[in-house]
Amino acid sequence: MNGFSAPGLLPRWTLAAALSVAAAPGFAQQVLEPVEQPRMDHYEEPVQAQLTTAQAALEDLLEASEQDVTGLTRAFGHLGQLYLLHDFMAPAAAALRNAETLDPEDPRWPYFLAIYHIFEGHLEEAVAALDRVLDLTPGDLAARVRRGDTLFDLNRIDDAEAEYRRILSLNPNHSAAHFGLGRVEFQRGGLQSAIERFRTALRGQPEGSVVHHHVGLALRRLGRREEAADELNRNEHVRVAFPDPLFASLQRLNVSREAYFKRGTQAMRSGDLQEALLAFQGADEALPNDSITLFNLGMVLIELGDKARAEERMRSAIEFDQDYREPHFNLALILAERNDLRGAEHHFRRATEIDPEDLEARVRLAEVLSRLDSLNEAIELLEEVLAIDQALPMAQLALGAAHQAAGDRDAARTALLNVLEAAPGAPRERAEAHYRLAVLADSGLSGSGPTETTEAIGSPSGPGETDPEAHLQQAIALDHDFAEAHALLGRVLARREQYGEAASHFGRALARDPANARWHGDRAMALVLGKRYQAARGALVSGRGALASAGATPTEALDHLDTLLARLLAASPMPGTRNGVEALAIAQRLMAERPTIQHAETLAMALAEIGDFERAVSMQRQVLAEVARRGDKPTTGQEQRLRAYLNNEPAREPWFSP
Amino acid sequence: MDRAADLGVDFVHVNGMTGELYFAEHMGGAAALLDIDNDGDLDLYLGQGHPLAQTTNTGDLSKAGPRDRLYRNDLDADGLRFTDITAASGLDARGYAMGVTVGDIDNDGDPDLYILNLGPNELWRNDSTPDAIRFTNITADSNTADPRWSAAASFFDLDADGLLDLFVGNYVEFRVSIHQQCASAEGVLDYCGPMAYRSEPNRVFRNRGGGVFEDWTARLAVGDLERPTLGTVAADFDGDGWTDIYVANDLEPNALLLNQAGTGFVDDAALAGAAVDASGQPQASMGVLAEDFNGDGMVDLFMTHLHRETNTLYLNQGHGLWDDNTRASGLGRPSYAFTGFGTAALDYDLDGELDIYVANGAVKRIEEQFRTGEPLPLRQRNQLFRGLGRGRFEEVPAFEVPAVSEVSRGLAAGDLDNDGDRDVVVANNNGPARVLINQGKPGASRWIGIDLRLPGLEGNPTGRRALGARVGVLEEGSSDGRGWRRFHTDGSYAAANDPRVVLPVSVERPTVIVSWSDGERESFQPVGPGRYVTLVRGTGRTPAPHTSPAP
Repeated sequence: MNGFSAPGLLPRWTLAAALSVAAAPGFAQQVLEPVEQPRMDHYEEPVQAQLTTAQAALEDLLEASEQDVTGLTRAFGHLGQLYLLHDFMAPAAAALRNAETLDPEDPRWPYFLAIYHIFEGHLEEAVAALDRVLDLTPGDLAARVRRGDTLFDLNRIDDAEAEYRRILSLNPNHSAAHFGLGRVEFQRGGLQSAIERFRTALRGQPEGSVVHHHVGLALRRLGRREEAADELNRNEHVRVAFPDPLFASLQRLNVSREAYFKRGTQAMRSGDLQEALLAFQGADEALPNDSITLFNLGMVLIELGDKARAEERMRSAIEFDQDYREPHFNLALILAERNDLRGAEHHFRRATEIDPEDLEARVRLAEVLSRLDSLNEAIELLEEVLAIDQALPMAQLALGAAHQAAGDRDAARTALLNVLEAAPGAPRERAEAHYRLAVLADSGLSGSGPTETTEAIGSPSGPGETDPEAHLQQAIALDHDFAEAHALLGRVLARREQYGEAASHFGRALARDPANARWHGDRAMALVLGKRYQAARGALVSGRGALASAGATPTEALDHLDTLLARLLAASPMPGTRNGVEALAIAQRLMAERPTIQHAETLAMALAEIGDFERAVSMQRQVLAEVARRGDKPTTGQEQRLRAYLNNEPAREPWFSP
Repeated sequence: MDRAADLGVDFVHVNGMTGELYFAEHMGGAAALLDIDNDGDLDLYLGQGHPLAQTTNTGDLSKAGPRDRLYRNDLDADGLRFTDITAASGLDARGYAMGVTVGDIDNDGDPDLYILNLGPNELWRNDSTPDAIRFTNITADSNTADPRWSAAASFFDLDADGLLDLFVGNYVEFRVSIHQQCASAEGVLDYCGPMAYRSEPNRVFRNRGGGVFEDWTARLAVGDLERPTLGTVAADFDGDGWTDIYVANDLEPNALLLNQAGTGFVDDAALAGAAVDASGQPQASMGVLAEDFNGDGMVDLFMTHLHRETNTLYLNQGHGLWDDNTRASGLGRPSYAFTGFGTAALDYDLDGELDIYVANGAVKRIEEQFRTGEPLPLRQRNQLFRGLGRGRFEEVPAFEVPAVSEVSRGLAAGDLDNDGDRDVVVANNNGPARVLINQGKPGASRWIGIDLRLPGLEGNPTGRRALGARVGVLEEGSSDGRGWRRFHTDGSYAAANDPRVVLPVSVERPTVIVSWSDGERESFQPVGPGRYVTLVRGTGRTPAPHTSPAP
């Protein structure tokens, strides 16, 4: 049997302090305790070095021909703190008692002894040590808080109350003391006054969320259940803090990677990402080239949005431990997000090789394979996953998507309905399933997804399909900010000529993704169809601004909005919305940059609006000729507009009719 | 005193440790007390581990490897004796056992065994006849092979259809292939805590009858709370006649899942005041008990916790409210230096007050033991707390308690020798199982033992045991019972208990009141004290209306 590796036993290393110091002048009556040396051979280097140095310093002092009492006190005290920090409780207590014996006037030593006793559950001894601290420094509020709390734990409620009141007499805004008094009052049944105390504590320290728990308990007892539930749900288990310089100095002594890790994870939990970054960087310095540290650094950088550096850290973590699943998995997520699908595939595969039972990695791999058009392998992989856990919603969802991409409508629907059946507790997956079912219903499938052109906003849905609206409403009910669902619902509603609601849903989609040119265009179209031309113009202008501020270059996205804006300025039925000159400028620019049929038609509209019907007719004839050259038939609108220009009339009909 | 060796229980748990300090290896140690052959005495199941393989949780399942064991109790006039019947019983369970629960899934009157593993769980149907003990593995057909690391489970009747359903508490996603190395504050390799791994969702399996279960986890939205569960106990906590579940989680808030008439659960723990301790912090809950610890007729909760946390007693105040009463109970401070796992409520001295036994064992290296080269430096002594009444306890001095100082995990309690006091089986991790026989206390009051059954099917005189019922004694001149005890097998940690209830009695023919799991009450006047009697539902009398609070 083999558990903790247990190398040869060390002899108990006992300081000769008792003898040496007892023999020193002035200390004849004092007996110092032997301090055992803990085993350190397995400790990481910084900790070992720190402890060895402290022990050596103490030994040097003990062996010196002349006793340096001040130095000895410091050495015992420092060593005691380090032992306390590293959980060597008995040696810590012995060293700290020696320090206190040597210098009974220094409040640090009884304070750390009190902490030792509290850790060990020796509450009476802790109170006694704190009493010695307070004899020396009556104004030490940290010691008073600890004393009050310890008395409370000893059920000495009156004594605890007296201590908390003493603190408030010294600092009326002390949150921990208000909190302590609240607990005292709660204990005595004074629920209303307890609540007031707790709320005072919370005003001083809103982040001390544990106070909400106590408020909740008091409200609950008062029969105010709803308020109580609200308060209890706000408890995120963050304690009421109080300034405690000695304890903080103790913790700062810890140079172990674990200590940095603790600081890092605490900072991550409290959302302080910069602090987390610093902590993990400290861990990296304490123990360089450690794959776990590098992985954690990567995770913090992901949270900070610095994916490039996160990728570097993940790669380094893998370099030092090629079989470490987490960095493979997270690196793959990063790569998938930036469309390096082959890279993502490789690292997801590694994650699944390392841990064949990691179902999530298998599902992610299948998603990447779907994106790489390896649909059969993706489907096979997902079916394997579902054979292991048939209720895994993300696998059902991915399977639905893969079948959808493969054009197998029935299989896609079955998988998506399975998500709804099997995952009532997974709202995100259910919302996604509803959305995909709506897409299926809306598109008549063929794997093309929802209609994607603004022209199609007025086109009917595929025949024989279920109404997608119900699915979309469900998706939105489950996830109010589901942008794609809002956008698709906007299109569905526009087709039903519910243009106002459609525009509203496009607006909600844009709230999540303001740089989506297609949705800006769809929104403008819905507004036009709803005869809100001015609003449409505003939407297009603000959409352009949003795209520009998002760094969009003048590509198809901006082209699209410019085309719509030019046509609105040229052909809007509302006179105040039109501006032929502006329309012409935009249309000419578009035509110069990309001479397409669409841009030529826009230019014809603008020419007609400024009264240049001759050139408008010429341009529109060129459009029709190009359509014929391609073997297509002109649309009704294209022919109607030519007739209008021939009659010296500008375009005034919706220009997007099929 | 420990009598495992001389009683024939030679079981030694193997955790398979290799020096890698795999998280799962120091958590196992399972025990169940169950009357397999319905001969009136308790037989013993003990769960085994084995070396963990590199890529799976199931490890080396070769037939030569260690396996779970079954011991038959051959109690007779000559005394107590156990015989290893593993091979003959057909119980060929070789998963990495993490816990066990017991219930009669097919209502045939004998207890079946659900083994919780690191890896797929196993359901073994008891097909014993009067002539032979026989178990059949029906895991695959029953659909109950939850592949996660399951640590606790409770059989209970979710939907009042008369069949026992199954709640499975899962812990964390651990596999050897995703093992993480954790270190102590000084950088020394040590066992990880649960936060190093992702929590797993709990599951509910509904019994459809015929030995087939269906997974109702999603339907009941039980999987929503992914917290690392180590303890579960089923009881009707809100007194509505539907069995609820209390879920003890490791370092996360506990859950009080109130059964909504079989259609779902609502977690009421936060509002009830039973999710976190008095300071508002979640604790590392392991074992859990649900009993009436202060004698007010309502079911209270007790949980074991980590070193530097207290074990915690939540007293039921009625109306859905609970208070952490640890500080006043006397249970807190003595537990501060220990990490508690298995626990049992037992009136060890038959004074009418429930006492509490706690099996301890650290989860982080103990420096002194590490220094002396112990391969598993996690030993801690077990503790016994004597009930003083009204929810107050005092620790029984260590010298009065059997000297078990090992890495204790599972703890099953039951009356092995049918002498009226409950004995204890301690399942140690990587060590021998201990069988602690209660020697009784001179001058202890008289007792009566109660076994509860539902009416039998198809001509059987008795059906399955009536898990979830409560039993009390009717005082003369009173309209309600006192000394209420629960009839259950679940609770503790990694263990299944003797469901039978022992009540101290002061009269020759006491009247016993049974509150069945649906809240219906019946009174019985069984024969005199000093023996066990079986009470079958529907054969007693409907008692007068009671005035005590709902349980």
